[in-house]
Amino acid sequence: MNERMTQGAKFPAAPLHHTGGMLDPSRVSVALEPAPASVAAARRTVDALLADVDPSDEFRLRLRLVVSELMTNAVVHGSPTSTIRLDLTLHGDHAHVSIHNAGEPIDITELRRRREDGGRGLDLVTAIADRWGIDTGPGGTTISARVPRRLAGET
Amino acid sequence: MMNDPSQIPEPRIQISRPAPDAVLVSLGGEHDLSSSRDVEKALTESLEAGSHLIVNISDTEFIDSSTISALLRAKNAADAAGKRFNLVLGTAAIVERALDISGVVPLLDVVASVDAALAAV
Repeated sequence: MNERMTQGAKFPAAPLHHTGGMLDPSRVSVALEPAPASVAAARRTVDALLADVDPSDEFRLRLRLVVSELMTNAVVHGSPTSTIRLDLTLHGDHAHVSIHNAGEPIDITELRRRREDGGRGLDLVTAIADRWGIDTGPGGTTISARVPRRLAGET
Repeated sequence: MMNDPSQIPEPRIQISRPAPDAVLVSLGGEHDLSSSRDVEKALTESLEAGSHLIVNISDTEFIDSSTISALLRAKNAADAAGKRFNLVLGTAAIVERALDISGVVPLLDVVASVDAALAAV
């Protein structure tokens, strides 16, 4: 789908690799290390993608929250050794978020068992995203979500 | 432009004692997974140090589910120890929204200010 991700040193000194946005302002793809600091880096990626949007804009705030929660999931449940790739694509009426971890597949039943904490984050994602899903297998795990510009009921 | 780390306000945690039995934990900036352990520790220690724990998140610009979980655990610990807990909320839209969506606002004894928390005995 997107082969433009930079693959440099395993954990680059600068956590952020801006590879897509220079060519296409509506798309950004970054490789982040599997560490808690990457959650803030993921929000910063949203800020970069929506640099022209007012910081208090509801859509921007919601997208930051969804990206933050999904990134947290990848850091907490994903492989501690493999880079996490975050892809953000801006469409007319929504943004598509995709977070890919090349590590071990996530056991869905295990994820559910841990719901006491992980569940709260996914509840936030569920409330904001039109839909989200986890695709897990030998190639790794991808969590994707579609975040609408406007929530139902908003004008 | 986007690599400037100063774009994201650092998470801040301040602890003070506004009244003899009360301990105030004030959070500022953006809080997420990377600060949740420090927040948890500050809340746990502050609860042990007084009989009334007040957590002020008015100056936070972002909190996530790990912060919300830490707040809930502190509230539950306060209940279990027979101590008082208040959350001071008067804050960024997304912070309020995250708390709203999580359905935890009614559980966290929310007040409008630190003074209100101290007055409401």
